Amino acid sequence: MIDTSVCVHCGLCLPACPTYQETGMESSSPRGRVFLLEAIAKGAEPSLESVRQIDECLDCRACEEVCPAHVPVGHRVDQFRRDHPQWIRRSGSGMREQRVVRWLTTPLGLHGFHWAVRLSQGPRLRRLSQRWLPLPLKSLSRGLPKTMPRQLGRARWRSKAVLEPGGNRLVVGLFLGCVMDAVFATTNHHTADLLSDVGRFVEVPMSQRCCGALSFHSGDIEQARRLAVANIKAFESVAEVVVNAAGCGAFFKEYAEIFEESSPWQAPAKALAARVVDVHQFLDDHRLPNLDQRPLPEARLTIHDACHLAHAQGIRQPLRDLLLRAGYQVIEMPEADRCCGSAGTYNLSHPAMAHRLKQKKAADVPQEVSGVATSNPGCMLQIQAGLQDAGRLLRVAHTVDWLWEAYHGNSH
Amino acid sequence: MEIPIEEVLVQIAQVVGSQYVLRDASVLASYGADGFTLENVPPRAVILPGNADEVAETVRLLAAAGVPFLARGAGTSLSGGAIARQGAVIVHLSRMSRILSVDLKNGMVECEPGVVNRTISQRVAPDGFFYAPDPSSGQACTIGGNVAENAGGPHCLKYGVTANHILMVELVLADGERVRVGHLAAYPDPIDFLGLMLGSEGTFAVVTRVWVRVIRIPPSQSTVMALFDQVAWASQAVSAIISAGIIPASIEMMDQLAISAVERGTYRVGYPPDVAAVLLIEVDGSSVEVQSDTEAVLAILAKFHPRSVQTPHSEAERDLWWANRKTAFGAMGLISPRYYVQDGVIPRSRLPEVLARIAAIAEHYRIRIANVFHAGDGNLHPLLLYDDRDPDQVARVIQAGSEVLRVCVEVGGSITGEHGVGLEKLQEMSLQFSPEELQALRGLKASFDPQGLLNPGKVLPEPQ
Ligand SMILES: Cc1cc2nc3c(=O)[nH]c(=O)nc-3n(C[C@H](O)[C@H](O)[C@H](O)COP(=O)(O)OP(=O)(O)OC[C@H]3O[C@@H](n4cnc5c(N)ncnc54)[C@H](O)[C@@H]3O)c2cc1C
Ligand code: SF4
Ligand code: SF4
Repeated sequence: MIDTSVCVHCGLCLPACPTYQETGMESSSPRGRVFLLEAIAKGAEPSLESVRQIDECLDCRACEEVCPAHVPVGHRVDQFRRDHPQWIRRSGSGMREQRVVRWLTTPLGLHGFHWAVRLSQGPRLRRLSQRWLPLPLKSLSRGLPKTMPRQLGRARWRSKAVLEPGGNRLVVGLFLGCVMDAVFATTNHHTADLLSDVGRFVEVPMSQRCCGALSFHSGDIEQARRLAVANIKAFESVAEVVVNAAGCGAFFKEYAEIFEESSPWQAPAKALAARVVDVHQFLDDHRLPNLDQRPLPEARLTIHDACHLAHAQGIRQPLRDLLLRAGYQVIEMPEADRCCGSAGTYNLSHPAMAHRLKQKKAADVPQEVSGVATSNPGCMLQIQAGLQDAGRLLRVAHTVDWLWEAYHGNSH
Repeated sequence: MEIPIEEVLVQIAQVVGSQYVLRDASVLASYGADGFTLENVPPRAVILPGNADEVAETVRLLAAAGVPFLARGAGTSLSGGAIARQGAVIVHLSRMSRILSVDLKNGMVECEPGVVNRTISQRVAPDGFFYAPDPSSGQACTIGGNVAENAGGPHCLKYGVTANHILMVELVLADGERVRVGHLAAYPDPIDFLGLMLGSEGTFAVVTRVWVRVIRIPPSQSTVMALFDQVAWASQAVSAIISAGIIPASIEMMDQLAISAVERGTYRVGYPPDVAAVLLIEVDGSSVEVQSDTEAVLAILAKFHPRSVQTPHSEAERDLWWANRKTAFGAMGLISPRYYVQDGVIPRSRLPEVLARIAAIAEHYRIRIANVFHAGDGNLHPLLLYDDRDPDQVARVIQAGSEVLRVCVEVGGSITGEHGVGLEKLQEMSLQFSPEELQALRGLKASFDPQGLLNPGKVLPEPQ
């Protein structure tokens, strides 16, 4: 990984770090983690406690965004996890996630996951699953949508867009994601609809796969590379690839970093990264009509800025502009861009911290709102579960879903 | 009778909770330094109390056992103030970060010591108020640390430093006793104990609560940016502005090397790489005042051969200029593995001369020195760049730093503007104070801390 910047120990990143906010300990702050990693790099044998503190990093990138030298602390921790799986394992936060992830990122596994989730939503299994699931997943499964839509799948999508007057066919590729497609396929349908609304033909290449972020972050770089290659090929022919999951979008934009400098996939990875556009950015640039005069039933929303959208891609304002134009009122929550604790497979590896951050996020959701808009499947599950735990019956949905409801009515 | 430290820590764990007493050697290593990177000593233990009662009890137990200790805020000190010497234990106040009350009628905010500087302004901004002292580390440093260091910042040219904005503080003294000094009504005590605490660098007491003054955001403000091809022209322009009787809210300056770092950082303004110096001047007040001051500033700048002078096109552009300036230190990481920042103060009129001498020092010691400073009040921040893997270079940097301070004292200035003495400038204290003065200061310290337990090895050099 390319890493040119150096931490000067200024400490400016401390208050931005969710784990430091929780514990107050230097060792669970970005600078503290850099310190510990530097010591290890110099040959010090770390204690299990310090490995635990390093590994508690959410890779939320809040520190990288505020660091004057943009030191990639999250990346470095990731690197450490890959280089020293034995320490991570011994520290107790286990690599069981890696096995789960490897299975999940195959098409068969995804399919299985989709059906498992779909079935588990039946009232009987739902009750059952509340008994046998491990505690962190139990709460999370309460955040799942009540009904599971059909996957947009790798089926060909017939675009509803009309031909531009000039006869130009404006084609965009749509990336479906794995968790997104298995659990929140409706959002993919909605994304396609809205892209059609702004005059785009939507192509959904059959051969696309999971973006690879989950594999990469759980230490399986080979699998991540295989998936990246599949996606590079799948989207070769489209000029723009629209992504609606913040985590996938951020990972695509960094595709080049997962290949060796000398790899023949460097250049194609960079090329794909440059063609990836976040859905909010796309819809904001290509202007959905202004509906802000029209009253909406569930009109007051708050926004949770997904880490990998806000910190990693610097996208915040488009969500707000889009929702306002669609006729919603936006009521900001405090620290909207503080990580909700979902962070990929963090719920599996660090249930206690994930739980604290989930509760904190749910408590930050203002009383007067009727819904929460966010942009990542993990965040949607996590915040929904947190609200449920707090006994609040609010709906959490992707920004795209809220937009779709404004533009296409509430009937499906 | 000495009580073994193990036993004391067990007792303290019963007060603060065992998860808040850190003993693990690798974890303690992360507390080995603060923003000053030339020394690294892990503390014997770290204690994270949750409230003032726990601080008092912790201090009482430590004092009874004769264990030295020091408070730590965000650890952004640039003089090593938050580094534990002589086997000291760190009392980390990061968990005490609540704003306890806001009373805008009286322009007052009551804070725990771990409240981050910038959050105070953020909290009262919707009501049109702000907390004036704005150190460049404001996004991280704590109000407790600000009180301890009497922190300044770009806007202190007009508004004054931390000392001018603190109404009252609550302290835990070296033996665990709790007292309050200062007054909410802001009338002076016969003996100014509050003044004594401000800038005492945590060597007299632990601050457990702070009542700060917040003031109205000025109705109007304007920033001017001027680029110069010679540092001397920029500094002459600064002197001319001040002697014309204008008091801008701030005048900040960066030289070419500093610019090259920030332009690689997170907030890029797009300064031309070959420009010798940039001045950022902010004036604020009523809109009439701002307009006439801005015009006057522009007229003065024009006399000193600026390459260009401009005002921002938008609020966002202005914010970008300031964010760029405020992250200058951290951005050094992009052009050098480490930096050592000096903090001398000089009479403004001597700026061109001092800068020339600093350049000569850099050349002599074969190091690079970037300059960032609060030009309006003559507070220099030469950033000495070095690579900590090269012991010879480290030695040269330390000597060069000391020489820079000698220059400051020679021209009638001082060895610290706002970063404090800490452990960094112990030697240089005798450049500025006579042995008798130092002895008097030691007496003062002893009257607050007879056992010498509080933040040992800081500020006052051992008697020769
Ligand atoms: C990038 C950068 C820019 C900076 N810019 C400025 C600037 O513009 N102006 C400026 O003045 N400073 C600046 N500083 C220096 C530093 O931020 C200040 O000195 C700040 O006040 C330190 O606060 P802290 O919370 O980090 O304290 P720490 O570093 O944790 O501690 C500093 C000292 O204060 C003592 N202390 C801390 N909390 C307490 C307490 N509650 N009670 C008693 N003693 C306590 C400690 O024992 C120590 O001696 C900068 C630092 C950095 C890294
Ligand atoms: S990671 Fe960046 S912000 Fe944090 S201490 Fe290091 S240089 Fe400063
Ligand atoms: S990535 Fe997030 S959790 Fe990790 S050190 Fe940075 S701010 Fe903290």
